[in-house]
Parts: sequence; C-alpha cells; structure tokens
Amino acid sequence: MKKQNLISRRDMLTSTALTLGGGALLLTRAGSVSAEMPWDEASNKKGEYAALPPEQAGGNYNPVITPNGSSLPFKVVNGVKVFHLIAEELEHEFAPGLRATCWGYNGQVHGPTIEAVEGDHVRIYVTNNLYAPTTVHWHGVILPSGMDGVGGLSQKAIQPGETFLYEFTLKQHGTLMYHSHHDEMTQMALGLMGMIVIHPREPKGPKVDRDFVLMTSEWKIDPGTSRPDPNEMTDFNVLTFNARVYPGTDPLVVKQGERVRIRIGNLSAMDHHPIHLHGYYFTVVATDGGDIPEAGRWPETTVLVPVGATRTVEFVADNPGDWAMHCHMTHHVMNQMGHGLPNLVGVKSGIIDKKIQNLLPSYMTMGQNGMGDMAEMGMETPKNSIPMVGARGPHDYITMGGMFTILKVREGLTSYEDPGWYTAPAGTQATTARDEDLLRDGIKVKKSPKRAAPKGGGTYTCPMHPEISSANPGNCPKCGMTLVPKRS
Amino acid sequence: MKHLSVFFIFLLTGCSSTLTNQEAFNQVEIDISERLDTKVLWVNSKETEDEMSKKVTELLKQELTPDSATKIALLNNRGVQATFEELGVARAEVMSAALFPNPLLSVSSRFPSGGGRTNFEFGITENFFTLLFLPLQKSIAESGLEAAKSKVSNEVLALASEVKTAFYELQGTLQDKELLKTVLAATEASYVAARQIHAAGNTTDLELQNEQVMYEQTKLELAKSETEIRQLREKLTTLLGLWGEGTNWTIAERLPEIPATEVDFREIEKTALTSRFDLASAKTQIEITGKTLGIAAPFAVFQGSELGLDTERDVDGQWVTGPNFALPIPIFPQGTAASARAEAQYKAALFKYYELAVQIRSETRAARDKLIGHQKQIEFMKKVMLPLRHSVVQQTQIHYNGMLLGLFALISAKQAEIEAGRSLVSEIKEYWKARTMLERAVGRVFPLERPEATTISSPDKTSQSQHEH
Repeated sequence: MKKQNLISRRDMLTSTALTLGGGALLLTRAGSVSAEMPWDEASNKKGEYAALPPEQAGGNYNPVITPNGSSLPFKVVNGVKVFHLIAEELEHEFAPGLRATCWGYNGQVHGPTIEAVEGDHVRIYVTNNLYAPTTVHWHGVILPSGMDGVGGLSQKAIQPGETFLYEFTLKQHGTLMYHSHHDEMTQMALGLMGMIVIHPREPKGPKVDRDFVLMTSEWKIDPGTSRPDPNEMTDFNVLTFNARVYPGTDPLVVKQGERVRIRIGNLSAMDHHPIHLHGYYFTVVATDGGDIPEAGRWPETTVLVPVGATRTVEFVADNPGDWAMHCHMTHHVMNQMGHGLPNLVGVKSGIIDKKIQNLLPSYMTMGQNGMGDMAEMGMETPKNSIPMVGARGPHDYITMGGMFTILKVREGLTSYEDPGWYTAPAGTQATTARDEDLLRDGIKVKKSPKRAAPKGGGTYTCPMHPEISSANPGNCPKCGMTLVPKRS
Repeated sequence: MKHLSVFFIFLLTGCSSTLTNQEAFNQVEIDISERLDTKVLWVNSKETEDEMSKKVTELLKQELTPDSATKIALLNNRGVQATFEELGVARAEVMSAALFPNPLLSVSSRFPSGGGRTNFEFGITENFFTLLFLPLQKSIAESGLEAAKSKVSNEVLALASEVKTAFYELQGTLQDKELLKTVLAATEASYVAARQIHAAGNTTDLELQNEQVMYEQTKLELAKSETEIRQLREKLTTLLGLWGEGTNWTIAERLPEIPATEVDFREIEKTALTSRFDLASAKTQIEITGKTLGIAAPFAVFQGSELGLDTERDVDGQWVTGPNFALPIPIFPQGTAASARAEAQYKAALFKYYELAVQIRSETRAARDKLIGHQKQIEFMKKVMLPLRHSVVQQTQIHYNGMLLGLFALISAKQAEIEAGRSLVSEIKEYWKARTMLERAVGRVFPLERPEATTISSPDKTSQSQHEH
C-alpha cells in the first residue's frame, strides 16, 4: 500500500465525515478505512487527542454491558489511558453449585472488558501472579510487532511475579479480544481471555441504546472435580457465555424499541458456535476485522461465530417478551452431560428396576423418556457438579443449561434490573387446545386418559408418580424418591 | 510226679498281665479328652454300642458344628474303631510275652527184641532260656503297648483334624455359593436390562449376546459349586461314619467369625513336642529297640536251651529218673549278627526320633506363620478393601444419578463388591483350615477363649504310671 496516498485520502475522508456528522453517506461508508488500516504509524504518536478520564467516559462513548462481568477500570495519565491487568488463579462460579479453580484477570473469569476509543494511546501493564509464565496477545489489534504478545516470538514470556508494559495507539474501532499467547492450550482452557471494545471516534449509523458483550468458551470439568481439564480436545461439557452457564447467566434486559447491539467473541478451544436469537432477525454489522459495509451486511437469526473471531449484530427490540439466546448445538445447552451411556429411550424398565433393586435398593432406571425429567428428581449427584441442571421457569422446568441466556424485552422499563418473567397477553399464550377450538376447526384427537385426581390438596408430589400428593415434603411411598413441590 | 506238679505251679504263678482292653484304653481316653476336649468311646460291647448310638443321634438333631462333627466322628467312625483294636493286639502281645512257654511232654515206648519189659519213657522239657528273659520280653511287649496307645491316639487326632478340615471346606464353599448366587443376580440384572434395551431397538444383537455370555457363564459356575458341595458333603459323611438316614445332617451355611482372642503362640514348639503322639511313639520305639538290643545277642546264641525231667522204665523193670539239660554250643557267631542288627535298629530309631522332632518344630512354625498371615489379610480386607468397594458402589450410584455413568457400570461396581466379599470368605475358610493344621501340628486344640492356665500332660509321664502295677 502506498503510504502517501493513503494518508492524504484518509485525512480528506475523515474530515468529510466530521462535517457530515453521523450521516449514512454511501461515499463516506465506502471510503471508511477499516479495510486499509495503516500499520506502520509511529506508535509514539501520542496526544493526537486527549483521552477522556473515567468520569467523563460516557462523553465520547456509550459504555458496553458485560453480563456477569465488568469493564476494566482505567486512569488517564498525561492523556494516556492506563490499564492494569493482573493474571491470577482464582475460584470461579459457573452457576450456583459449580465452582472451579480457574485462571483469570483482576479477580474475575473471564478478564474484564477493556474499553477504549479509537485513537487512544494506551498503556496496559500486565502483572503475572500465576505460577507459570504468560503473555497477553491483543487479538485483532493493529499494533507494532513487539507488542503483539506472542510468547517467544514477539517478547519474552512474562515470568511469575513480573510486570510487563504493553503500549500502543489504537488505530481502529471494533470488537476484539485479548488472551494468553503462551501455552495457549492450557492457559486459555483455564480462562485467560477477555473482550476488547474500541469505540469509534465518530460513531456512524443509528444510535445504539444497549450494547452487550458476550464471550463464548468451552471447558471440560469432570463432575465432582474442581478444576477444568486443559487436555480435553473433543469432549467439552461446560459451555459458557462470559464464563457462566445457564442458570447462572444474567439476562440481557432491554426496553422495548431500543436498538440493541450484541458483540460475540469466540475463543473456545475447538468449537465454532452458531448463536441463535429467538423472536428476531438481526443484521451482522461487523467482524473482528472491522465494520461490514452496509451493502455487505446480511440478516440472520443465527450467527456462526468461528473460533478466534468476533461477530457484532444489531437489531431493534420491537418484540416484547422473554427471548432465548443460545448456541444451537444441542449438546452445548446441557450442563456436564455424560456420554457413553446406554440408550434407554423407550425401554420398558419395570423388570429392570425389580432385578437391580434386589442388589441396589435405591436404584431406578432413568432416561426412558429422554433427559427432560431428570433435573427435578433431587437425587444425590457428585459434589460440586450440576449435571443436566436447568431452572424453574414461569410455566415449567426449563431443561436448558450451558451456552444459554435470555433477552428480556419489556415495555416502559424504568430500570434495567431483571424484570422477572414475561406474562403473555391474552390470546398470545400457547396452552392446551380448548374443546370449542377443536370442534370449530374439525380437529379430531383421541381423548388423553385422565390422570388420577390427586388425593387431597397436597403441595408435594413425586416426579415419577404424579398421582401421589402430600402436604409435607418427604419420600414417595411407591418408589422412595424425594417429593418435589407441585407445579402450580 | 510230685516234681512235675511243683513245676507246673511254678509256671502258673509266673507274673502274668491281667490288663483288660478297657484299662489299656483308659490312657487313650484321658490323653484324647485332654487335647481335644472330646470323649472317645471304644465300641466293643452292646452297652457301648447303645451309648454311642444314643449320643450320635442326639448330636445329629442339631446343625453340625466343628465340635459336634468331631464328637460324632470319634464315636462313629468305624476306621478309628478298627484302630482301637490294635490295642487289643498289643495287649495280647503283652499277655503272650508274660506267659511261660508250654513245656514239652514226650512219651515213647520201645519193645525189646530179646524179651523183657516194654521200655517206657516219659519226659518233660521246658525252654528255660525264655524263662530267664521273660521279664525283659514282657517289658518289651509293654513298651509295644505304649507305642500302640500312642499310635491309636495319633490316629484319633488325625481323624479329628481331617473332620474339621472337611467341615470348614464344606462350610466355606456353602458360604461362597450364597455370594455366587448374588453374582448371578447381578449378571442376570445386566442381561435383563440388555434384553429390554434390545427389545426397544436401542442396542445390537452382539451387545445383547455379550451380556448373555456373562450371565450363562455365572450359571455354570454356580452349578459347579453345587456339584462340589455334594462331593464335600460325602467326604464329611464318610468321616462321620454315617449312612442312610444319617446322611441328612445339616450345617450352618456360614463360616464362624474369626475369634476375637488370638492363639497363644508362646512356647508353641515345646507344646508340640510334648503333645504329639507320633513323637511319643518314636520315643517308645527307641525304648523297644534299646531293650531288644539288650537281649539280642544272648537270645540268638542260647535260643533252644532246654531244661527238663525224664523218667524211663528200663527193660529190666527199673525206673530211671533224672533231669536233663540242653544247650546250643556257640561255635558259629550268631550272636554278632543279631547284635549288629539290633544295634542298627536302635540307632535308626534314634535318628528317626530326631528327624521327627525337627520336622514337628518346623511344621509348627510354618502352620503358625500361615495362620498369622491369613489373620492379617482378613483384617486388612475387613478394614480397608470391603469398605472401599462399598464406597465405590455408593460413588458410582451418585454418578449414575447424574446420568454420568450408565446402569451397566453401576452393576459392575456392585459385582466387584460381591467378588471382594467372596475373597474374604475364601480367606476366612483358609484361616480356619490353617488353624486346624496348626492344631494338628501342635497335637492339641486351641480353645476359642484363652484359658487361665494350661496343664500339659505328656505321653512320657503317663507311660511311667502304667509301669507301676
């Protein structure tokens, strides 16, 4: 690329953009230089503009929301944004009931989101409080080779106890990532990664009201253990948004009518993730390479985020409700599933139970109806594990886990606290078909056998024997299982 | 004639043994009851037969125990009764050894060719050499009786040991069979589960048949166990001398628990040397060969010496009467050969005794070490292995609950726990057999509770008392 021409052209175009404001002029868009990033600009070109201090951060960008996480605090020293990342081992909760010893930054897994503005000159101090050497690579960031953070290649690895300084000027905007680039297999598998959001100096396009950041990753945590296994290559059993599994993922709360942007970064070891959002189609507006020209943006309901890539999507939240957002790989929405089990779907198990109970009185065959009923049975499972656990929803048990979260769109919200469950207005709730409807539309169905009426007005029942009803918690008289609260 | 009668009276008043079979048996009874804590009965009369019958019937009413089985065998086993008769044989030897040899009466008549009275000759001779050595011969025969008593007692102890070993072997196999039935239930449960899963179309014919193989294999093992049990029952029945109705005896299908008190291993070799009858027998053999050595030479040389009285009516009608005396002339050295033989036999008896003593000591130590070994293993299995296996089953169940392990893994874990139980039963069976072996080595039983003081009577002391009469 010819340096001279580019610089002059860029100057011309950006000044045009300034005059025209946030106008969606095709010319300006086409001329935006994300694809032609000058890479050799002197890194000591400080003070082109003064970075705004933290208190005024809202001044030149709308801060992003990192569900279950936060942004890295910074200070401004002589116009330079100064960050301090501390790599350390810590205990992390994936969801209530599952904790593990992981590696993260600044007391959290994954590391806090680094937010800055295009043009900022940044100094990032990285202290290694691990017992292994590490580095930090700035994934997708245009910077000098020596700051790239590849252990052995760009720099010496940061030894335990040492503090390194990374310093460069941000010449782009977009959604990027940072992660360890020394013994990546181990260190990333233990959690050493985070998101970077560089806001454009002059935002273009419609104003985004809610800006979310989600990082996807995958882990192998043997149920009953408390440390991820970095040697796993194919059989991951804990799939996370921002290092959390459902029901531990915070919902994305949005006021109806707001424009929403969701930035998704995938640093899973081996798997791409097709992230699907219910209730909407969105437009894919950017990758970790930069903004996609408007003509090139395409609509999706599921955006495939490859390993090592980010995808940014936008949509207007005009459809109120509780909307599932999740990886569409079915095994990625299960918590700590076991594999290599015999297939018990459709097996008549009465005689199996009898034969095995002679040896093991508390045995019960499971899986004949699939996995749906498992979570509510209340049986003892290995400590510190959440196999197949989901959560109680407003109607019934939500048999989901893993890489699953909920977009909650409500009319007239006054705060972004979790607004609870959505109540569907009359006429928009799927329920058992009424007899009059069946009759009117000529649908002939066999009457389902009436379940035996529960005795008395008890509040506890057995998950396997619904006819049992008890006022108090206890054990089922038929099979001995712990009784669960009745579904209202 | 007067002289003859005097002679006869002298013969008859010679010291003879008036020992009865029962008196000979008394010592055996005392020795056995002291070592085995069990009564032994010589069934040689209608009364004793009735007594024995009654006792055995009584004992057979209950489940057999090692003690009751031993008691039954000692009363009922015809083989050991045959051994008792050896006492009769030995006693007869003593009797005959004490008896004078019968004098020889000779009568002859000759008819003179030239006329005159018929010549009559009467004579009585007695083997007088035997007379001289009669006490010594009797002494040898009495030692022979002591040896016979020791042998009989030893046979009784051997029988008791065999009975107990057969008993534990049977009981251990019965207990194992119960556990094997549980293993069968486990393989059956696996197979039934596989069948149901197969019926739902969820698994292959191959997987189903592999499960079936394990199930059928276990059935086979159980059948083999049942056959072995029948064989072991027969063995015990034979030792107990039972048949017909008597073969329906019952036995607890569990081995007894390891006793809480340990065997007293102090001075166990010394106990063995003083208690064992085969050693006592070997010692008596030294006595016998020693005594024989004393009379071997003269016996060989002067055997056939005679002393006698004869009277003759000559042709002229006169009676000539007078004593006679015959003695072999020791030209050829027959005595040396006999002496040499007797000496060799004496030395052989000495060496055999020492060899047996060394063997007994070694046997005792080996048996003790084996017993201690089994005891330690049992403790370890009870304290460590079995609780661990149980814990594994519980943990497997917990993982099964989380649908992390399948039902086949759960059944496998349970099966492994049962197999650990089978190993323990096998170990307990070996413990009891080892304890029986130690009792055999030491020559007495160990009480299950440690007594305050043990009095040990050795065969030497008792044989001494027998001599005084």
